[in-house]
Amino acid sequence: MFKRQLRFFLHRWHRRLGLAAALILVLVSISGLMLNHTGDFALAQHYPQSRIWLWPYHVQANRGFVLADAVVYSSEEQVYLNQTPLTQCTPPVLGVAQNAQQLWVLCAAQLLFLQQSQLVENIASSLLGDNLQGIAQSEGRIYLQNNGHWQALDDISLSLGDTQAVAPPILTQQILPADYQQNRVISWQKVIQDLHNGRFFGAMGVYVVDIAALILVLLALSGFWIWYSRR
Amino acid sequence: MRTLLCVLAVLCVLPAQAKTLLSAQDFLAQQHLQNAKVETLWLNAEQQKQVAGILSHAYAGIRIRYWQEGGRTAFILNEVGKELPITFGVVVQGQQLSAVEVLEFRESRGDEIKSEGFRAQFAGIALNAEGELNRSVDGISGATYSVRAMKKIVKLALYLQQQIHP
Repeated sequence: MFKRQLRFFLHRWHRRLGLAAALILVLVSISGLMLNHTGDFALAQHYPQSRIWLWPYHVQANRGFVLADAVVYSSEEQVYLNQTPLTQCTPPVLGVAQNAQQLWVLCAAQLLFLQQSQLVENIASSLLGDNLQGIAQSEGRIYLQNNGHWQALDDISLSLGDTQAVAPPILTQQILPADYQQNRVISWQKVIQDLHNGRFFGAMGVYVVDIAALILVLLALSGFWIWYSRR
Repeated sequence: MRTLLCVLAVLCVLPAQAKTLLSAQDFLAQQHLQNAKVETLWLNAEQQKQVAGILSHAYAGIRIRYWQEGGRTAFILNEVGKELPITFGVVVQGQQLSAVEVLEFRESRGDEIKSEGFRAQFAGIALNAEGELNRSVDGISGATYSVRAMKKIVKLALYLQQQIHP
């Protein structure tokens, strides 16, 4: 009698728990399958662009340097010129200066020199000064701010000249136009991982997935008991 | 959630922090080349092709700076280890390698290549007729990519020296 009552009770709760956990189990199963094949799907190399996927991450608007005919910005240690990747560069980008067809990009550890949009040279910034903070162009010359002082760059001998009394005008970073607001930080791998473990839905999401996991254990036990008691 | 993301962001950023082992100026001073003449080599199409063959990818740029004094030539070159660039300082004397130093290491692992014992293997190494290193270099387990990057850079420096002083 007791066995029958218990089986009836388990049967009823087996159905209810299964239904309650179904949606989460489907989500966790599909995301788990995708994570198992991260390499095949190249999830780490692709980035969602829709706000539907990006809302939990509070992604900041891309900022960069907007010149008359070019946009320079960096993302994930990569410098871009008009959306074309140039080279890897230690962040942050400290400044950009344009002199006719020449473009100079100062990163934390490199000074990049471009001519007619082509990367000509990648110079270790420690060759020029121990604390480079900014770059500017004035009257056809390039100036670097070293330890707070603006000095003219001699790009032939790779040296800095005398300190300038007046600071040259510098370009400041600004929020880039819509075309440059593509997400290149949060990959599909990150989104799917967070969907899988529930973090996509905040702190509560993790507990919901935990509960679904416990329900799965209960389903296994109750399923076994229902089968066993009918033997 | 925000705290978690911040912690994750910090964890992601920490290994990527650049570790400056030796500044470029200090490297040149160490090699007694601080007063050496600064020269540039503009890579022509054929040289770009050869350099790309050595590195297994196109070189970022078409001009390479070098310092020269008394038959010795110094180069400061970058090559990606596993994911991030490693900055090397290389000195070539004649057609043989005189010194190789790791100036900046940005990867989270593999910095064993900076050890003197490992770098000593490259002393006197040169290119053979096929353009390969004329002796084998023992690897380091756990630093495969960094070792590969150093070998490529040594090969590149020796090739560039051949172009400067055929």
